[in-house]
Amino acid sequence: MTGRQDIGGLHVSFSGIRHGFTHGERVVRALWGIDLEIPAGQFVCLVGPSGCGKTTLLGMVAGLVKPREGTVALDSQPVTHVRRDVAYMLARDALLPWLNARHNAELGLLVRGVAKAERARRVEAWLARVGLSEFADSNILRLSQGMRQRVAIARTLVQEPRCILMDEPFAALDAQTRILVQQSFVNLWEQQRATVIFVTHDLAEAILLGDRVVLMSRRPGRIVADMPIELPRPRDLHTPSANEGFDMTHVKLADLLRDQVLAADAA
Amino acid sequence: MIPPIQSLAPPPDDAFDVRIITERRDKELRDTKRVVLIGTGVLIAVLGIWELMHATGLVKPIFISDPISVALAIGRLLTSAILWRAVMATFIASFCGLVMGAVLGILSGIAMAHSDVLRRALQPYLTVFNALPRPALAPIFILWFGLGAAPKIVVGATIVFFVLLANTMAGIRSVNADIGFLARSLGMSPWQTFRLIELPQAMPPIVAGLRLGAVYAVLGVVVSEIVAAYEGLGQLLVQYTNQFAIAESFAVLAFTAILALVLDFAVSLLQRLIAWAPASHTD
Repeated sequence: MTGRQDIGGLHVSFSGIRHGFTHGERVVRALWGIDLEIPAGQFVCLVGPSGCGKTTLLGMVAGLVKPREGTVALDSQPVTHVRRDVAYMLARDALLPWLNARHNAELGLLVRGVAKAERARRVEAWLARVGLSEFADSNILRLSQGMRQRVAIARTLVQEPRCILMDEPFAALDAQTRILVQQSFVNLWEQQRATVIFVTHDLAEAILLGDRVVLMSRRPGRIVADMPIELPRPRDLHTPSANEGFDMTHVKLADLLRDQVLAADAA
Repeated sequence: MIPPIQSLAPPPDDAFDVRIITERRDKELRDTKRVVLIGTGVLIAVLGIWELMHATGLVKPIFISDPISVALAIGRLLTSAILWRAVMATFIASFCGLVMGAVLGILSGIAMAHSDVLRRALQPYLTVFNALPRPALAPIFILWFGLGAAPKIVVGATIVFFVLLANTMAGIRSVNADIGFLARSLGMSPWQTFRLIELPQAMPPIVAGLRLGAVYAVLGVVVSEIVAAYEGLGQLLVQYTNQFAIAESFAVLAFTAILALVLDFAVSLLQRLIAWAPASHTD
């Protein structure tokens, strides 16, 4: 296992983003005037009601969605296509059921044309870091949900991304497993320090994991709050209240979020 | 006071474990016995009714033969060169029909899964052609291609083609949305997506289609031979039936079934070799 490896993050900037799509004959405005600067290596959590365009924003960074107006730039370069230093993680693990854990984990490297021996070496190291060395040759279908999501983490981090886009990555896990998987992700992230944009519905999760929480309004999505989270790391993920200042931050953001959710519900 | 963890574990109770295992084994044994009983019962009943119809003259004995005569006929045919020539002719034609229909079907399925335009343009024609009873085309194909292997191969292939086309297309289009998204987010090229995602995803339905196709290929070939052919099991069947050699006719039918089973078995070996099992998570 190699130790700390500072790859560094990408600076992400959204400027003047407006986006919409057609729904039948109607145009639905999804995002309306998003300006956001994310310094390299920051862990930002995006929170907001369903359908506020959080996932669309991630898609723009990934190069899968082109904003109708405005630009997304990574280290000042506008995003025009899928970049190899940006990795995406979804709520469901999207593991290929016909491959074992090892081959799933190396998928990203395979696509990039990394040589076989190099792939094997790096995947081996990352499976060890997520605690799955013994299960490298296991059929994916025989692993537990938590283990599967850890394989997905290995698949993401082995690519040594400089920006990680996470769309409710732990939402499909049960409460206990979730904390364990969050913990292992945070530990690994602290070694790599990639920029993370983390979408979640769960405010507590956002506060516990993030350096900063950005709260979005109901559709069309705008930014209604942008709050740095100054809880010292490492944080206690098992008992949120044990972190100094957690409760206060939570109360403040929860009120704002509730207003948006209620407004979205009424609309 | 919280008791120490160990005390929560129940004390070992071997008698309990043994009882549960014994009960399960007894149930398995009972079920197996029933399966064998019902299975042999059905066989004996069918043979008995057959023999009865023959013996009582309910159906003219010459039309129905009897189990023992058929068994003897199978024995006689096994050592006859006529049978083996027919078996080879039918087998080769079925195999060629299966391969031809499968290759074209899989390739077309891949093309149509990738192009909405192509699918929409061709679907109506394919639906109509698939609705045609293909064996009914045999006389026309024989007219076109003669009495050799070609017309029967074509009849078999036209049936197999549609099975593989439908299964390949469905398989490729069934790629899970998350996996499709992952492929795009990794920046996979179309070729990488095909090779790493779509093809493996489509493998189980393709192989299932091949197994079905194996049986259909034999069907198409035999029907075509019945219409007209220089040689083959279908032709042999017609000859024997026309001569009222009913025992031989049944024997040929048995060989036809065996041939289809052999082809299906060969494909099932292939299945074990290449297809992952989607529902294999039992524990």
